[in-house]
Amino acid sequence: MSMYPIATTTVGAGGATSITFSSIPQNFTHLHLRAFTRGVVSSGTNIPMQFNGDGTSGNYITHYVGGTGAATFSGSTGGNANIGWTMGTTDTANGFGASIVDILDYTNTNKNKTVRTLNGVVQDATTGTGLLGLWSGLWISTAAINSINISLSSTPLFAQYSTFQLYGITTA
Amino acid sequence: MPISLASTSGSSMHGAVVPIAYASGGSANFGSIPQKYQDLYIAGQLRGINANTIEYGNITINGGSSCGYTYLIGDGSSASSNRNTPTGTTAMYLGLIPGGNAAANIYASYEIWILNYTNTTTYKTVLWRLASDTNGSGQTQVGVGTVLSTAAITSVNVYGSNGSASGTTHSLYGVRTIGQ
Repeated sequence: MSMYPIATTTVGAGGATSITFSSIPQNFTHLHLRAFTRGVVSSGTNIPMQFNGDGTSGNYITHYVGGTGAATFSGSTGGNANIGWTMGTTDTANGFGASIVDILDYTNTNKNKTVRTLNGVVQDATTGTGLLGLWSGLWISTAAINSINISLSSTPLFAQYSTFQLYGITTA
Repeated sequence: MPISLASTSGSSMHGAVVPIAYASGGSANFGSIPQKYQDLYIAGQLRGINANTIEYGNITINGGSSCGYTYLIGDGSSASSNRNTPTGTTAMYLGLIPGGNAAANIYASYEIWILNYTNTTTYKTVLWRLASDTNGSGQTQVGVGTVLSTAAITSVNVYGSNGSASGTTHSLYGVRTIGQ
């Protein structure tokens, strides 16, 4: 198994409402995404991800299990394949959340697509208070994934220095 | 404004994960880390040396930068989430690892991701997960920490709180992105 860089972006001074990776090569077995994010948003805002321009809410579902540093929780939400939470404007300055995302068998046209994510944000770095979770996302489509769109709910901005890197993984 | 990126359709086909260093036994006190990758990734197996069946595994950055962290644990009977304690705020708590009195030949396995480690404008974010089982008790843990410093990360140490046993291994990798 080897991993190869496909594309990367760093958000500039003006912020960005969304990030889109398009024309994704179809010659890998899996995709791997790393996101380093801060939003001009409320603390703990979800990071929704959609595929191939499909904005149909009923085609996505997300489940998660997580902790705050004081309590545990689990839940689900529809409408997107979320990849975690981002840091917000009231959180520790200069702090960013992180998501490690895998999208398996993304070219297979006989399977709906499943996303798995490890995500964490330390909202208050002086106390350790945060949000940490394991996420699953389902896109109910057998289409091969050729584009990925990542945004923040309610269309706010990703803050400057947020970075997104997409990789392809081979099996040999 | 939205950012749209067409892919590089096949990229450079140079592998993204580059071995930097390997350590065995003792601690993984990786220093003089090259500053030419996007992220760092560490994988290893860890066992302590204290006279108990369990011990704490820790992560320190740049010799002990201040940090805040949150972690989530499942121990086979319940789940819990805690922060900062018990190791203070200059070391992040990787999780419980087998101690010197644990059954022979058992090690915890861990992975650590450190994103954007050379950026001198942002604080650094560390994610980790650990699996530890002593054949009777065990835990699986994930964690996130923020290093309260904008300094580039030049050293990382992963270790048992009282030392690390023979057979402990640590592998440090750099993760390239496009243009690196």
